[in-house]
Amino acid sequence: MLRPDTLYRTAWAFVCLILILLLLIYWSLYKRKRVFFQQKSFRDGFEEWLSELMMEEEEDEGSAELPAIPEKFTKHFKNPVKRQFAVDILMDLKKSVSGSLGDNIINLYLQLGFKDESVRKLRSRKWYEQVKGINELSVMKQEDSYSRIFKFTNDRNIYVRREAQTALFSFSGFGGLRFLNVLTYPMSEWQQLNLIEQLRPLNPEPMPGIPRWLRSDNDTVVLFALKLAEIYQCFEVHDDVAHCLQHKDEKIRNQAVKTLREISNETTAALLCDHYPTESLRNKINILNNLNAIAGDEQLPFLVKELDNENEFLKLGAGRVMINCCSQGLEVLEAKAAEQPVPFGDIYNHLIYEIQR
Amino acid sequence: MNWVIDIVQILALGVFIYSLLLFAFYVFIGVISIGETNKYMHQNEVTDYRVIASSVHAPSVTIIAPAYNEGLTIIDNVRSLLSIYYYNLEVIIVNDGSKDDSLQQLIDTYQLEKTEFFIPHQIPTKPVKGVYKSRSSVFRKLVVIDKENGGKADALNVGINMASNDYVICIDVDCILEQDAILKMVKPFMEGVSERVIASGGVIRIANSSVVQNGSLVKVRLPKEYLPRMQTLEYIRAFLLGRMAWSRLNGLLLISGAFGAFDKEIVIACGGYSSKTVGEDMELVVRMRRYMEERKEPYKVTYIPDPLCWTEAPTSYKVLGRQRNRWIRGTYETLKLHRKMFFNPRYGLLGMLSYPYWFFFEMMGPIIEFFGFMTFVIMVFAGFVDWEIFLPLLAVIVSFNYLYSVFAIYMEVKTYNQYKRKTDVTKLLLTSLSEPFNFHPFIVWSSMKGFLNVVRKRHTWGDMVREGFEKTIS
Repeated sequence: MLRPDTLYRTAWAFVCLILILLLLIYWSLYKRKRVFFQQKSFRDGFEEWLSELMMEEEEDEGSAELPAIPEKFTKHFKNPVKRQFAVDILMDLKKSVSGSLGDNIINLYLQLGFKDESVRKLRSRKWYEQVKGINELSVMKQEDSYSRIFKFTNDRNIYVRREAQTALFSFSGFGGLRFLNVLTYPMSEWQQLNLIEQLRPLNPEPMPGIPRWLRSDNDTVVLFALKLAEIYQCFEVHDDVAHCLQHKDEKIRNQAVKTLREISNETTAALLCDHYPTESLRNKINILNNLNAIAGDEQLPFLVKELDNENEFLKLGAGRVMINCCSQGLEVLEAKAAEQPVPFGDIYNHLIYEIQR
Repeated sequence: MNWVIDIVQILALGVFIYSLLLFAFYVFIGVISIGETNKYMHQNEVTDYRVIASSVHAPSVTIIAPAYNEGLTIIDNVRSLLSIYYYNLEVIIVNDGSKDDSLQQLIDTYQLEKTEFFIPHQIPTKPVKGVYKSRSSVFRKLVVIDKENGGKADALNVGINMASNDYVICIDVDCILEQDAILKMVKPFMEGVSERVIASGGVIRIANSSVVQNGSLVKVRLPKEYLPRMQTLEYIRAFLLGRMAWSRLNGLLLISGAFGAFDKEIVIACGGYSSKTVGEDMELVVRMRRYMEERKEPYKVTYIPDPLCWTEAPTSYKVLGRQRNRWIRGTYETLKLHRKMFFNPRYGLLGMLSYPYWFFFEMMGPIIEFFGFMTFVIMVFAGFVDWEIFLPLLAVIVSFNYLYSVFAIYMEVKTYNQYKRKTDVTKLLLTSLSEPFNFHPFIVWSSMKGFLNVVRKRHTWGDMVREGFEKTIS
């Protein structure tokens, strides 16, 4: 192996690879630059035509037919890169407008035959192609693809099912939640937040599935249902949510506490205090943070006991709830601070400063 | 004398096998990083980060930036941090007993007042002299802590004690973060379903010669000076190839102290940063991983390849040498502290692959190279060198080094393409030519001085002299 000719051959092989990479580097830079300028000229022309078209349509709202597409664009559309580029422009435009202008963009998308391409992407074996296809159909409101996309909501690939779930919301708002009935794969917190933010601008609708989702075998479905119950203040599921305090998953118990605060009744504060001793440190802090909104004088003995907890975060949390929620809280803490200035003097000053701010 | 020749031959064979393994690792890292980078780029095509930027339901994040004698740039740096696009954000600046007027500048500019603040002592630290908050609601996210000098690790620990949010991002105060840096760093923590994401690292890029305006990077330029340009190449190789591959394997041991995000609960459970080592960033990650492994809890340390954080690289050999001296001491101290994991199957991939890789190639590499070179010099003078073998062997090693550098530049061009001009890419390629003969030997030499400091039990950090970024008139 250590023969000079073998070594020289190896070095030459490396040099050849270097040369190939150098060619690829400069080719990539050249291609990138060329594509940039070509796309820029195409983009400028296409966008100008689109804006003229949109303005004409706005003035002439009754017309259903779109004018013929100029030949210079149909020629460009034979190139798949430019077709995709045109789809991307239409998508960006669709996201920023609504009403009849939005409908015109959809008509144009259909007239240019881009939908077929989006559907073809759904059949691709590459996950990122499928994601792109779902995204295009969803932005362009192709509701006839609903059942086809629904199948993807429980796809093995996380990105595909994520995009499909998002698409359902885009098609039917709260109705899109029905995928939770069949979801067996986990739903990340990132996806949950995306879906919550997608629902936010919509008018709230009843969610009869929540009790069922709260008992789902899929922990992430339970977590998501708890978040929905918190945001949309579903008081009717108070007992189901309270049941989740016994869940084995710490995140679910944590979220259940937050949800209970939003849908609390006269029993909730006591319920949380009873549950408190069995919890992890993180959830104890969480319970104290949430008791701050719902506790009353009945919780004062529990809070006074917590002042003696070894953990300083818990001392501070208990002191905060006492001051904010118990009529005698301030006096009790003041007396404790006088009796034991370290650390209660600092805690007292800290909480007074908080109130003043 | 036969036995001497036998020993030399055995040593030569050992070094040869070592080199082959190193080559194999580099190839393996290169191949894996391609797949991981492609996957990340495709993921990002349809990810809308703006959704969580303004969401009240997004995870809460605290940025912690220790500052020591940063009076020259502190105001711009804090302004840059406060302009970051994220709703649930708190920015904690820890003034670690600066001797300059950093604190007074902050008080004057951001209308700070001393507050009564109780800091729970979850991690032991040096005493805190005061906690400051702004009277103006514009700067409501800002908290400034003034404390006795205790070093970077101690300052970070104070920030962690004070942080009111679930995730902490520890940065160097002079770093410039991209506007979407927090959004991208938080995402991995929200993606972990079957495994808890305990830490996430981001790419550090060199900002020398780039244009900075109001604490934000407005124009990326390739450094004009040789040393920062060489480090640009080095960082591209390390971040775009090395860390990307280790992240794929879930074997990442190091998240740069200049920019890293952590699950606060785990950091506190592990006892925070250690003041006993100069490599506190690596040591914390190793300790967090060890903690999770010992509890048999599934976890992950992730890594973001986007260029999110820009920093100033040393421009002189003196400062660069001090930095590398510290890095190798940090590596040594961390590996020594956690030697229990060395080839210990109880720690899975961490004990069987990550730790041994760092031990043999990152820590032992400079020693083997240094003694190899010394042996070579002796052999030249003794006339023992077989030039017929040596020259082609050198050609293989040098050409492989160039190949790896060119491949890293290719990956950069294909992905983030920060240096768009052909002349910049050409300069970067030409810079790589001198690396094996100039930059690399210097790094090895600095590392050897680091080992010497270990033997002499010297435990200093060494100052980083900042020259400041190129600024435009705003």
